Amino acid sequence: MDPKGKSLLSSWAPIFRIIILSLICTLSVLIRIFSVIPIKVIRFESIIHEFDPWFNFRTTKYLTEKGVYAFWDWFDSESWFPLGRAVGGTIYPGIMLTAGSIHSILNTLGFPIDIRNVCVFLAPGFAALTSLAGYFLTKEVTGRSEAGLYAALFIGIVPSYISRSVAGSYDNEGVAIFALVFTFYLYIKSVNTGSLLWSAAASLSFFYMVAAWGGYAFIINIIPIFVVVNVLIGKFTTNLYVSYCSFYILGSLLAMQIPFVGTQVVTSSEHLASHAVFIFLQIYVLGNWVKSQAGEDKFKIFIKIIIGMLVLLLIAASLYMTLSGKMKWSGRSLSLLDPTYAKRFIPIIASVSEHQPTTWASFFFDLHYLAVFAPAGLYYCLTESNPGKLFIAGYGVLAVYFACVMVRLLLVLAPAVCILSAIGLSETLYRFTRHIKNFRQWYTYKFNPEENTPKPKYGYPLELTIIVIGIIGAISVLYINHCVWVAAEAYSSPTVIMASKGYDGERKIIDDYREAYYWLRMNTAQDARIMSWWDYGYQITGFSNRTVLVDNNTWNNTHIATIGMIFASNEEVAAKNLRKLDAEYVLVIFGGVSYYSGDDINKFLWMVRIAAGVFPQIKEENYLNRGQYRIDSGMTETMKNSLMYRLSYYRFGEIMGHNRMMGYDVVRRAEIGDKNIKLRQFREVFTSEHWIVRIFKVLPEENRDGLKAKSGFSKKYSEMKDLGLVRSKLS
Amino acid sequence: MVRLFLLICCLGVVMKVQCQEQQTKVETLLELSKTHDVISLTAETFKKYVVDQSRQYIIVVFFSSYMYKSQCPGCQALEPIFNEIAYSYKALGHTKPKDQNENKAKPVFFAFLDYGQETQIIYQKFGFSNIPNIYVSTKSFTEETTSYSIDRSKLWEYRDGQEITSNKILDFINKKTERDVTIQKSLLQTILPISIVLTILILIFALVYFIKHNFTSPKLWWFGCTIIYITCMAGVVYDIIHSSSLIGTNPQTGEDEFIAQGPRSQYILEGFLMSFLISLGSLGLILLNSTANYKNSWLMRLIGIFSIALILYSIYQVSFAYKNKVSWYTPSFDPPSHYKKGGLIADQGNSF
Repeated sequence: MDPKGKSLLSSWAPIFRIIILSLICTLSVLIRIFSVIPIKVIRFESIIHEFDPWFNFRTTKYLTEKGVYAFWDWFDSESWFPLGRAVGGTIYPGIMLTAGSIHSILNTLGFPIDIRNVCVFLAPGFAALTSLAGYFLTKEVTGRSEAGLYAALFIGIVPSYISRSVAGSYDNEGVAIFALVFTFYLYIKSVNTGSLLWSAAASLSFFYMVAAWGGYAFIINIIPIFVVVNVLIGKFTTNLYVSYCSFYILGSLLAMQIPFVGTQVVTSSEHLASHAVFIFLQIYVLGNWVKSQAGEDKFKIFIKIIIGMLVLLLIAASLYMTLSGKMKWSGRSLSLLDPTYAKRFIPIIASVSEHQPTTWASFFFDLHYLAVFAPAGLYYCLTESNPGKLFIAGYGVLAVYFACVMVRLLLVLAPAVCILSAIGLSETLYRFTRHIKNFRQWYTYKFNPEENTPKPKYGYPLELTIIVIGIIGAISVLYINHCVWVAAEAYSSPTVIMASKGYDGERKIIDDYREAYYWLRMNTAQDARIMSWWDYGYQITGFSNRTVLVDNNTWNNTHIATIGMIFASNEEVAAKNLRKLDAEYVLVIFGGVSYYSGDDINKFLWMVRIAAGVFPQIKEENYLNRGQYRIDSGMTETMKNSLMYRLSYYRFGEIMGHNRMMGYDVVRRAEIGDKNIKLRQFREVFTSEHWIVRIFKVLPEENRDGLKAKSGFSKKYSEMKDLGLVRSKLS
Repeated sequence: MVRLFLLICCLGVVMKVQCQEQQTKVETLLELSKTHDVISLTAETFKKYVVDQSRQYIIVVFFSSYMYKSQCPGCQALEPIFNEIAYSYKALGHTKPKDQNENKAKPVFFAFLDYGQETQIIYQKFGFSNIPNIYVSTKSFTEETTSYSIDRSKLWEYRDGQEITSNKILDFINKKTERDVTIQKSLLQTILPISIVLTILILIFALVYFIKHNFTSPKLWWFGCTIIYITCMAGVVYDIIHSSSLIGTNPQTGEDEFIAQGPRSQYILEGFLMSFLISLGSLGLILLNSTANYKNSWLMRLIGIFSIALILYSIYQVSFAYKNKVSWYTPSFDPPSHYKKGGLIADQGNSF
């Protein structure tokens, strides 16, 4: 081999690496803007997607307009009427502050960019950063940059992450995944080097994560677990001690600075593991010191006594606490031990679709072939282990459990699976490319044996080598194909605008939401109160700038149950309660005309369930006919009289639908049971083009109801008579 | 006068006898309820304790069947709840006689009537078309040839598909017995969660202690991790919450169906099979890599080819199953040929 040629190639390696990395970053940005950019693909426009991002967008706008201090003190009277919400103390401000500062920096530099565009493109930008962080983490763990490059590619375009970070999806997770991966990188770096600087950097990154997303609890639990496992398998090092202690102290102190977290750092059970491990580490180090002073044998006896006593004490204490009722199992920990807990007792958590447990199909759709190769990565992480690889393995195994409990936590699993399969695949590539490199040597040895040719180290059939490399390449191409398709077809729809395809591939845009929200903005009073189910709260405040009763921040279960109760009651009761709540308009989403299945009638059972938890007069079985949820003539009387049914199907009997049937609901595939609904307490004020959004006004109380003329009159009459003001006819 | 006196005496004696009878009934029930929370009734004892006159207690009867329990989801759900409520009543001292004239203070007993040849007639007289049912009998009732004169409002009947929760049943029984009892957990149940956790901890420590030498073996660790990986990827939590069946049946043809339609549903076997197939690819990759370090030989070459086949099989099977499951899954770089393409205005956003 020519030593000069080899060094030439390796001197070019950093350049290649940088080029590849920048290409990956570009790819991971471009794959996320299918919905926005009119390069060759116009789907929609630069708009904020879904529900939660609308709240984030609204607060960011407030931040840029009023400044940081006003933002912290902001009491939002437009949501949760009449309670209001102290926004500054009840949010994770990371994403708003990030977007706000990018906006102000760009403006100072002379780029007058709109805050909406900053918000829309923030998540794709952070995706590029995440793939860089993934590269550094994998390189730090394996020591090989090709594994890092593979990981960067995988993380940049993994569907699970795309789903939360397409352009317009301005949500906490978009920046939090970057913070998660980067914190892990810095922490592994600090474990490897034992440097205080790196642990300080890790805790700063952790601070950003706390500011950005509630999922920080994952970090503050996985790092202590990692430390304990290291100690248990006898891999305790001073590096580990230094890195954990400084990370724990700085990280906990910094986390307290976020108002929403605050003292939870001390009181909440989510942080319990970190405290316990910190104390455990100190005791362990102390024990080591005692051992070095007292000698092995004496120490062993000492430790046995101590451990025995501790165990007995622990059992006695926990038994006492449980029996005396002082220690109760919190709902959260119970739902981890027993996943059916939420379904039975907390319907509001179980009703959210992203809180559903995961099927194998979701795993495959969101991770694709990465799921296939992750166990191989696990194998190399464990067999050729170092602290970093052990960490990644632990991260993967824990995350896969959480992902199995809740669909949304697939997002936390995605980076782990990317890194693991990158390790697995790059190991294969590494082993097989050596054979190509050595092929000439092997060839000369075999066919032109000269005297001085050394026996080559590797000899593997070339054709097999090429097949293996080809297969890995093909798998990567299939993976990229899948990701691009998923990004374009499945995850780029903004929810507020819907597109449907005709049989000839022609696209129809359904823009009912914006039509209705704009109507509200233009045609209702500035301070009008609008009641809708909580899903649409953020969008109404964001689009129409009107006050809502409940929104997606589901902090007050009773208030939401009240709304559920109103939708489930009959018209008179509902109107009475609505007037008490001072609501003027009712907004319902109805998809029976336009095949929109995520409408309020389909969510109605959840409303009933949530209401039933607070109001005993609402009973789920009253809405079911022999256990079946029906809207046709077989429905129950309670269902027929409920406000939701009457508002959704008001005048629906007049339109001709499928199969020339009058009042045929295409979502439920049934002819509705009551085609002649007459509203007594409400008036229809707006219905959008495809009937998706319907708005009704609550009529003011009728005069007769208030006065009760007859009895009131006679009572007054008799009173006057008593006072002698009216003469009796007889006298 | 004498007659009157005699009459009063007779009445007194009868009353006394009745009272005694009541007393003995309560005592026997009390005795029985000491050992069992729920007293099992036969046709005879049902007549004696529930139907017949002269009693000063409330008896809550649970109508169900031991024999058909497996075919009756309602019975399975209700039985533990009923037992729990019976235990709670007993634990709070509601079985003890205090003041026998007021409903509020009468002792409450819980009984179970099994469906069988002898008791069949009772079920018919109650007019049940379904089990399980609960009747809260606050006073005796008369027996007619075809039915009982019972208070229908004190009857809880099961309807198909109805959800049974312990709160609902407890509310019903509380209302009818005019009390306010909350569910009391037995000592065993209170200790159960903590003891499970403790046992698991102790088991883990014991395991660590006994396999201390093999504990650091990475292959063992990998094996454990992969099992966790496979179980989680199979969607066990989904199976538990939605109580999926092992395999399903196709609603149209009625044949066995192994793969549920749609990405948001699955069967137990399907989940585990797919998750196993997913992990099989990794096994292939590890095998393949292990061949790369050895010298060229026919055996190594065979193993290499086998492991490549394993990887391809795993990938192919999983993708194939997913395509079957989710009909709209058609990833491709190009849009279908019949789509409109063209410039910015004509193109409907379908070309890449």
